Amino acid sequence: MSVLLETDGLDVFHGHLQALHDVSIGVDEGETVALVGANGAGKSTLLSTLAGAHRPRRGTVRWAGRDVTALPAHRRVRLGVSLTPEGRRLFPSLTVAENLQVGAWKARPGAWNVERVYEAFPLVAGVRDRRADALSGGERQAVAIARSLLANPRVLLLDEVSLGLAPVVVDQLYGSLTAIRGEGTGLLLVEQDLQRAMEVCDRMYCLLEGRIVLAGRPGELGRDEVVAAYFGLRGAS
Amino acid sequence: MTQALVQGVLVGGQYALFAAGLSLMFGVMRIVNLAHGALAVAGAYLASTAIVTLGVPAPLAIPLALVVMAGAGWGLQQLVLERTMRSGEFTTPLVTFALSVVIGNLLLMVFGSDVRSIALAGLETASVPITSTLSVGWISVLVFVAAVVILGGVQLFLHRTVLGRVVRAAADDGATAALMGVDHRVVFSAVTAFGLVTATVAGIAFGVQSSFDPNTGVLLLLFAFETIVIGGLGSLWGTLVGGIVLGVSQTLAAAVDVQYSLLAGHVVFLAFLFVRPRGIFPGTWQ
Repeated sequence: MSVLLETDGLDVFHGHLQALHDVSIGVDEGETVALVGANGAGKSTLLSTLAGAHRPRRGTVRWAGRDVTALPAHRRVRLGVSLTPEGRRLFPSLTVAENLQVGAWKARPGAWNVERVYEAFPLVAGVRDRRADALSGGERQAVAIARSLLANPRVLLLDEVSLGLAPVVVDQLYGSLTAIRGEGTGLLLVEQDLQRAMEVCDRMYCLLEGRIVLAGRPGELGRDEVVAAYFGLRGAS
Repeated sequence: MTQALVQGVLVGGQYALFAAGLSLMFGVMRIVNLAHGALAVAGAYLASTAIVTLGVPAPLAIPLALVVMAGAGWGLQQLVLERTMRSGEFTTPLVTFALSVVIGNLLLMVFGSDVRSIALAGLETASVPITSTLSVGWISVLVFVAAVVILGGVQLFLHRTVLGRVVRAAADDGATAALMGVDHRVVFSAVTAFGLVTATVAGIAFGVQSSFDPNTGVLLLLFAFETIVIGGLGSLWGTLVGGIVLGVSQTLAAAVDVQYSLLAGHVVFLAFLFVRPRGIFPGTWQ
């Protein structure tokens, strides 16, 4: 497997505040990678930098070996990077079906179309004619993922998959993610639920205060080790 | 009385045409373009100069003026408004107000303060008889039809086409639209270009029916704002209805005494502000 999306020594700032320090990660073709860490660790910043919504001050973002650091977000979609952003960010005045149409507007050729998305996301199919601002949290998240998927990404960046959702809805969403992985789409997901993250991913990174403090395969990392890295308890243990 | 009513509806078409671009730009980008009136007059000067001074035939000069103004709109968005939109909500009104002053003075410098109008081979005076006692000017019918076609067309485009939905998505949230491959700067530039095209159509139509000078833009902007407020901010059909309400109030008052015409329009506008401040069709597409 070859590395599809990778970063090298990223330093990212929010104004004067440094959000990421020397972050280097990679996602292989078809691989599921989990990104874990406490609130404010820089997970969302990392995802939006990968999608091109944020410009790093130092370091590079590479796509299939090519330097895309300066490429704006709207052009990265064509390469095959899609981000389901923090807070879902649906277009509120558009219906669900219209949101999906916008998602498919610059779609690459691929397995996903509106019909297949409705099959894989029963939550979305049920509300297709509703306005996006009249949806529940779970429906919103399902629509947001479906919308990103319609661009037929090779790597899908998913921010806060299960945040604020009922467990039964989270199970449904993860069921849909299985279908996505079945198509050979790479996933980089931010997940608060450590247990679930370790179950689904091939590899994981733990961010602490903007730095990667732990990386590896979940089978090789002990849960205690991950928890310690998550909360920054390394020195104490 | 009937004559005044019919005239008022047709004048309303003229006002709606002026307000269309303003309403569209506000609806999509939340831009209050205070230079809209001045730009409409600049478009009228452009067409008039091409026809009178350069001798270009009108059927060629008018499309030419529209193309030039579309280009100006594109440039205006890319070079000016793109920046002002990012620097606080008061920056754009201030900058466009300054722009309207600059345009007004440039027109004064180049063309002088003489009043002009645009002649279109007799079309400006030709009229259609409707009944034996009632007839209306061809050009005002044309303008009304143009207003309906432009407002209806924009409405259909925004709600019935994929590209229209992309425009609305960029209007809702440009940064998120970028994640779907939408370059919102291109979308916004196209909207501003189209807004100036409609302003120019309205400016030329005004120049044919009436007369203009470098300061006419200020009055036109006032009518356009009154139209939008009466009709409802961000509603395109509301804009048409608002124009008609304004136009009818003016012509009915004029039927009583011509000097009350403008005053009646302003009074009706103020009445709406008091009684129904969100207009007849409050914001239906945002």
